[in-house]
Amino acid sequence: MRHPGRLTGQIVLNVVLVLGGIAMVLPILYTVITSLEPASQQFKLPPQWIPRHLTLQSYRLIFRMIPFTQEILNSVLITVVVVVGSTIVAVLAAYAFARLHFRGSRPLFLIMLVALMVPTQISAIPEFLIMKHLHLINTRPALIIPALIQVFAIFLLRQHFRTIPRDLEDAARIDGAGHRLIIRHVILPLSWPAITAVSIVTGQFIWNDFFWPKLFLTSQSKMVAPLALVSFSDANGGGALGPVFAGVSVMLVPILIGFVFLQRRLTEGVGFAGVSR
Amino acid sequence: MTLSKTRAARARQTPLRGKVKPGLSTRLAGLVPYLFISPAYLLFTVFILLPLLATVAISFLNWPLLGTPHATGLKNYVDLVHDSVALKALRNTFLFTILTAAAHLIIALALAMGVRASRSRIVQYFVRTAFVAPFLMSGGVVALMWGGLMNHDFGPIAYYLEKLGFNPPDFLNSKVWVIPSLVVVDLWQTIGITFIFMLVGLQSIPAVLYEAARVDGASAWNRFVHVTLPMLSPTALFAIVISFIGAFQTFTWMEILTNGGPGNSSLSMVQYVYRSAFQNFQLGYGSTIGVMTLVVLLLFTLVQFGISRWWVHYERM
Repeated sequence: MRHPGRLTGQIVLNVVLVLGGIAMVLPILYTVITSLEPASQQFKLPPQWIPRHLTLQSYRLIFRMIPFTQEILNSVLITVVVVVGSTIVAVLAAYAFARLHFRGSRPLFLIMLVALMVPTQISAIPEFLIMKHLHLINTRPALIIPALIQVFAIFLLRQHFRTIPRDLEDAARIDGAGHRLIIRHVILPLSWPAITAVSIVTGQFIWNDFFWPKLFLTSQSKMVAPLALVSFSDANGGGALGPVFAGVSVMLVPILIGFVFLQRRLTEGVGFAGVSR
Repeated sequence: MTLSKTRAARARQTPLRGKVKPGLSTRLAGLVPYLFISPAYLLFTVFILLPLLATVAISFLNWPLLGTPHATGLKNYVDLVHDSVALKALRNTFLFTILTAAAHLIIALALAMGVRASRSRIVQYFVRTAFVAPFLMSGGVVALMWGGLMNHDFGPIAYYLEKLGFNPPDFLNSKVWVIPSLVVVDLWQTIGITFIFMLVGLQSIPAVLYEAARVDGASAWNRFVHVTLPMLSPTALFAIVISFIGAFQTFTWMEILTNGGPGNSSLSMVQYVYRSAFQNFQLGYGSTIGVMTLVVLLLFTLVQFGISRWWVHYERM
């Protein structure tokens, strides 16, 4: 950019970048291609990047051997419910912490902030005992309810709400607006980038998680899709590569849909989350 | 006299008394903030704060999953110090975390600078998409994919390395290579996020600073060292802390790809907590490992912030 005329430099740079990008994509490509090959070809080396025979056999197998549709729906459902629920919880708390004066607001906020550094996995044991007492083991609420509190979301939204000029809020208040109207008509319309960022971070966190599903879910039909694929793979050993890769490929679909919708928002959102530390 | 005085006093008080009612409702209005934070705080208390305190409490108990708990004082902690598996898990977690954090920082910075310097919009777009996309995949799915790729018998990576004349190790079954291999898997999935952080960080450096440096005759290297690095250091600190905390809790890769092996050489701390509690059924000892994990993590985060005062540069523009 700053060296006009350095054509060779630009060419080398772009070639290196594109090669890097291809290296990132190749594992996915390999997985999808292998999932489309007949079982006799899947383990053959060298890998065929342009397979001669294509078949949906592996896909039929994975959907027949485990309740995969149900499990994908579980994954999507849990992620969506947690994103919506935790964002509502976070908006309310962040509004109070950013805008309202009340006794104890600082210490209450600081306690939460300190907890941000504590990985919840280390408290897996009491967490498990709580769920057992609530009779929630092997249910989807076991994954949803504890995830409704996302301290990171509260922190990020509070930081953002503090940047909204108070004059807007005062004007609304003089017109007789209460907290509900202020949140709805002043705070929220000015906060969509922050809320998008928070939703993406939370959604990724839940979608990506393997620890809590592994701890709480035991029966196939309750499992989230990644856990179901892993337990299927463990039960069948290395021989089930085709069906497992078919499952992995199917799991790319919700992501592609998400990517089409989020596109720019994704990079902007993550960037936003990074900047408003 | 006294009576009229009291009356006068009362009369004076009456208007005040009228305000007692709004005072009450103001007091009720004072509860509104607590209403707003109550869902968050209820969940926070039940699912984060109490389990954390309970973990500390349970760590002083001998509690077999199906038996009754009884206090053992510091016995679990004494056992922990002499537990070679715990030590191994600590070492593995450290190695994994440090390699991950360092690689994140270097690769993401190089990549972000490369993308900034490229003048091709298509290349910029392609690289951004290719590097961020794996972040949206679920960890379990990523692990299954790499299990196939890194397989020693039929995986393409070993095959191509062999073709190139190398003698590739059995990545996931080698005591030496297992952690670096898992770092590669982790990087593949998460490097895109650090890359975006860096990209945003680079974009926020005012161009004026580069102009000024150029006018003063600073070389490209000097501009990098004296403008880019200091201006980017807050972003870098953030990225390090985030990747450090994330990597320290690593579980998915070890659990799916290696089951902690070979010979515990990829067992992670969180995985050891999980195993002690839910496979060996020792809730007390599992909690002790959890507490130690937490203490080590907090110490390191503090050290990082302490050191950061020497290298992180906060510019007030």
